[in-house]
Amino acid sequence: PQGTERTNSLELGNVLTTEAIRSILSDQDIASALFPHLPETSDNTNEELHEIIHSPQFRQSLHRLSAALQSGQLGPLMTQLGLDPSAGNGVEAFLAAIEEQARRRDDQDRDSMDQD
Amino acid sequence: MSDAGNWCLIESDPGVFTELISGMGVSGIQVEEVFSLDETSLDKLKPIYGLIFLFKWQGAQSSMPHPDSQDDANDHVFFAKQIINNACATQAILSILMNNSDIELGDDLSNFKSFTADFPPDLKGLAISNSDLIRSVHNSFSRSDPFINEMQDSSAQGDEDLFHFISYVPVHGALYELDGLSSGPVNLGPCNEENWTEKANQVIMERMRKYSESEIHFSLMAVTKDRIETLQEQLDEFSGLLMSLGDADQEQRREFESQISILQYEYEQEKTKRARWKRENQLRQHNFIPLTYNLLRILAERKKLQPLVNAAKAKKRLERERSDKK
Repeated sequence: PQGTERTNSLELGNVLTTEAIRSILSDQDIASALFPHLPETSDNTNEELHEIIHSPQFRQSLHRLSAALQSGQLGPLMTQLGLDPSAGNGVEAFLAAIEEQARRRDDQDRDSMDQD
Repeated sequence: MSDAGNWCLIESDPGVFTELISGMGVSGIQVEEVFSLDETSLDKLKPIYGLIFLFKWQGAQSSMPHPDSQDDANDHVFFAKQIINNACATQAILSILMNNSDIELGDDLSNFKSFTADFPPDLKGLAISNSDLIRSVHNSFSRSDPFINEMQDSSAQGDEDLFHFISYVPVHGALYELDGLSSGPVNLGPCNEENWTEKANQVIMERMRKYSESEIHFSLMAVTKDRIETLQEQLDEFSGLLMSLGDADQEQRREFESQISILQYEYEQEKTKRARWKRENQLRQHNFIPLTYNLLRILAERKKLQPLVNAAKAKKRLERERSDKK
């Protein structure tokens, strides 16, 4: 019954709301994993990360990426990110592919632990 | 207008325009947004080299009847026809830089100016679109997410707002309106260094009156001398005056001192603003895709992504139901 949903209207900004990710960003492990992806000139601090995630420039980038995903032409970029090219078929497909990728990694980790 | 060579859309922001100008090798220039069209606001920004009026372009020809353009104006006014849609901000900026002999253009733009001096307007426009320097500086604001930019360019006719830029600039004792979509420069009558902004104001206000009826968005930018340099010069001047004063003239002394402290305050404000612009430009030029992807990946690995997606979808559904009911 989900077929009637107009799913194309979901934006990355709707998922990564500033309220939703505030607590997540205060986790030091997560913050440290994100530092390498900040602009080169940035300080690698939680405050800086917080500020950048809240900046209009980051929000605009989310908006552009969402629009590009909805146009369905981001196959090559998806391959670069290690995702299936079909992840470029919309915001939901992109999010689902990231979920799927995480699940696969999880399974692999479990398999390698079993082998030990 | 063709799409020649992928020019990205850039944000109409004084910080972006200022960096664009210095990126082309021009020194000592700043762009400021003008919020109020009265002479006192403009006086504060002087010296002003030109004004850029921008408004949301609606495709049709301007409702403004153009005064006759001068056929011989091309001899002494740099005027280029607009060849590429997305380059109009850069074109409007160039129209001002190229028409003022006080501005230090730097080697690249000086060469460009002399190279194109005898070109007719359409060839000048073509030369701008073919200039590697101008295009690469313009595109350095492409926010380095290349896939997305190329696509945005091709879909720009959609609901992307198309802004149009017109420059007002004094050249050899006359005020000119330079609109890359017009056939040539429009002579708006004689002016001098002192009164040209006032005359430009009248023309711009007339345009605003027309456009506000049809709810067209517009804004105004001034291309000025570097504010930090201007304020530094004024500070030096007052410090000199203060030093030359005798001890007797206490009242004059106090006045100079208060002027100096006002200027110092403005100087600090300006420095802070420049630092902010620099930071904003760095963020504009940063490729945020890796950050976004890794944020989403980590959320997924910690089983936190699906709840966020579900919440976002639920919220969307609720919004839709609300709007459907209306």
